[in-house]
Amino acid sequence: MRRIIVALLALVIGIVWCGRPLQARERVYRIGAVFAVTGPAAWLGDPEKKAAKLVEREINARGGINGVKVEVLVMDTQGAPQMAVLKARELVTKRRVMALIGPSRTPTSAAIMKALQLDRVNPRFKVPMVSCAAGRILTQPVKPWVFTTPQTNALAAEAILKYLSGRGIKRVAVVYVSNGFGEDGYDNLKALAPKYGVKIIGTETYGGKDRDMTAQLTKLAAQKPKAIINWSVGPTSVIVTKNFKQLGLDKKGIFLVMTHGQGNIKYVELCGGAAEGVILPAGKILVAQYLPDTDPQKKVLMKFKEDYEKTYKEPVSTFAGHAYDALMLVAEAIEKGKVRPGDGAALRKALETETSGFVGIDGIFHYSPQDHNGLSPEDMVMLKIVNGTFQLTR
Amino acid sequence: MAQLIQYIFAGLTMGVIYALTGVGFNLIYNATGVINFAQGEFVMLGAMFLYTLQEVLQWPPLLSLLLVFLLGGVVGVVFEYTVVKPLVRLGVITVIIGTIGASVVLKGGAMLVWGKNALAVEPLISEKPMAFLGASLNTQVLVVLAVTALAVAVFWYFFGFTILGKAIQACSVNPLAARLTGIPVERMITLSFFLSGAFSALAGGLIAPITLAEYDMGTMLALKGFCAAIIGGLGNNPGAMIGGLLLGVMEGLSAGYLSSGYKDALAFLVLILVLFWRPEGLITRGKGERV
Repeated sequence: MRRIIVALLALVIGIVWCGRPLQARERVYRIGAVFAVTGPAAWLGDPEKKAAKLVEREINARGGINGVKVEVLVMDTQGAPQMAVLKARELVTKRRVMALIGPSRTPTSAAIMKALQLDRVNPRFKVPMVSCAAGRILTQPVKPWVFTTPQTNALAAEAILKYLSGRGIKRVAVVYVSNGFGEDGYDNLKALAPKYGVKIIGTETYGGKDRDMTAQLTKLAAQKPKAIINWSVGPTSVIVTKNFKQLGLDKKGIFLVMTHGQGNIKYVELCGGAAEGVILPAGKILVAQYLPDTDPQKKVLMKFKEDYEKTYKEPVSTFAGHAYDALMLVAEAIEKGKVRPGDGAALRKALETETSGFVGIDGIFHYSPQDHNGLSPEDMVMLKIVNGTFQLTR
Repeated sequence: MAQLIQYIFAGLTMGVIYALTGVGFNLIYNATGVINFAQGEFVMLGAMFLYTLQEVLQWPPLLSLLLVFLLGGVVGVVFEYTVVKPLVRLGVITVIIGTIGASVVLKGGAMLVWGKNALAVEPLISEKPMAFLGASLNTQVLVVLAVTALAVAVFWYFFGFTILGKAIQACSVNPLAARLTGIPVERMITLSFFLSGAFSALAGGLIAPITLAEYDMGTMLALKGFCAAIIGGLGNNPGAMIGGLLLGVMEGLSAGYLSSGYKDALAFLVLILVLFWRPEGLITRGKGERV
C-alpha cells in the first residue's frame, strides 16, 4: 500500500515538475486584433492591421515582453457590427486571447462592447478592449473594460477653441453635417466655448449628400463672425472649402477652421487651391518631421513613420498610429504590471494604473480609472495649409 | 439684397443639376413610358468618364466631353439591350424594378473601378467665381445652365419639328400604330436610350467640377432630378428645366431664410403638393391619359 502511495506521489510530483517548465515555454501573450481589413472601412482597417503586425514583429525581435513572445491574431470585421461580434467571440472563447485591440469604427466597437458585456464591472470574459475608434459612447461615461486611443471630438474641439481664443478670435460660427459625427462635434464646441470665452453666434447644418453650401455660409457670414468652423468628413468638407473661397469670405477676414477629419493630404488635393489658409487640428504624426526636436513625441513618431513607410512602401496615416498605440499600451501594461499570460483582469488593472505617461503616436497617454482615453488637447497640433501642404501654426 | 441674390445663386447651382437629370428621365420616359431609376448612375458614369479622360489621361477638355457624350450613349444602348429589352414583355413595372437593380450594379461597379473616394475634376473655363451685385457665382454653373438651355431647345425642335423626333414620340404614344405606319419602333427606342445616356453622361461631366465625382452621387441626383421632372410634368423638357431650377431656388431660399435642416423636407413637400393639385405638372396643359 505504502509503495503504491509513494509511487503515485512520485508520479504526481514528476508530472508537476516536468509540466511546469514545458508549459511556461509554450506560453505566449496572445492578443486578438479585430479590424475592418476589407469592406467600406478598409481605409481604416488596412493600415491598422499593418501597424499591429509591425509592432508584433518589433516586440518579438527584441525578445518579447518579460522574455515571453507576443502573438497577435488579426481578424477581419469587414466594418460590420455583427461580423465584429462574431470574430471577437471567436478570439475570446476559442483562441483565449487576453486582450482585444480594435475594432476600427465606433459602431463595431460598441457592438463588441455590448456583446461581451465590457461595459459591466464583472463581465463573463475578463478581456479588456483597446479600441481604435473615437466615438464618445465608448469612453463617456467610462466603461470598465473599454479603452480608446484616437483623439476624440472633444479634444479636437478644445484644441480649436484654445487656438482661436489665443489669437483673440471670440466670435465664431459653426456649420456641420447633420449626422452623428457633426452633431457630436457641435455639442462639444457648444459645451467648451464658454471655458475659452468664445461665443458661437450662428449655426447651420447640411446633409451628407449636399453639394452646395453657399446659402449656409452666406447666412453665417452675414452675422460677421471672425471664424467659421466646419465639422464634417468626406466630400462635404471639400465643397464647404470651395464655397468659402467662391464667396470670398477669406478676403473678408474670416478664418475657415476644419477638423481632424481633414488631416489627410487628399483633402487638400481635392480642394485645388481653395484650401489655402484653412486651419485644422490634427495628430502629430502628419507633421512629425516639422516638430521641434524638443517635442517629447518626436522620436517615437519619426521611428514609427520610418519603419512603417520602409516596410509597407506607403505613407503612414493617423489610423496606423491608433493601432500602434493600442498594441503598445497593452505591451506596456503587461511589462510594467508584470501581468502573466492569459490574465486579462490584471491587464485591465495595469492599463489603468501602470501606463500613465506612455509616449505614443496619438499623444502622451494618461489612462486612469476616470479616463479611458487619456489624451489631452496638447496632444493635438494646429495646422495651416500653406502652398498645398500642412504647416505647424501656433 | 446681396444675401438674397446669393441664396438664389446657391439655388441655381443645384437647380441646373436637377434640371439636367430631369431631362434625362424625360427622354427615356417619352420613348418607352419607363421611369429609369438608373438615370442618376448614367450621370455618375459621365462624371467618372470625364475624370478618367481629362484628369488621368490628360486629354483636352472639349475632346474629353465629346467622348463622354458618345461613351454615355453607348452605356445607354447597352443598358437597353441588357436590362430593358429582356424585361419589356413583363410590363412597365417590371422594367422599372429592373432599372433599380441596374442602378445598384452600376454603383457597385463604379466603386470597384474608381474607388470610394471623391475625385476632383477641373472646371471648363476657370476656377474664378463671377461677382454680381455683391454675390458670387461659380462660372461652371453658367456653363451648365447654357448647355441645359441649349439642349432643351434642341430637343424641343427635334421632337416637335423633325420626322425622326416625331417618330420617337409616336412610338411612345402607340407602338403598334407607329409600327403600322412604317416606323422602326425598336430602332427609335434604341435611339432614345442612346440620347438619354449620352445627354446624362454629358450632364455628369459638366457638374463634376461643382460636385466632385463620386461613385454614389447618382442616388441623390436621381431623386431630385425625378422631382424636377414631376414638377415640370413628366415628359416635358422645358418643364423639367423650370422644375429643376424652381426646386433648387426653393432649397436655396429655405436654407437661407428658414433653416438649412428643412431644405430637403421642403423640396419633397412641394413635390407632394404638385402631385396633389397638378399631377400633370406645373406647366403642362392637361391631356388625356394613355391607357
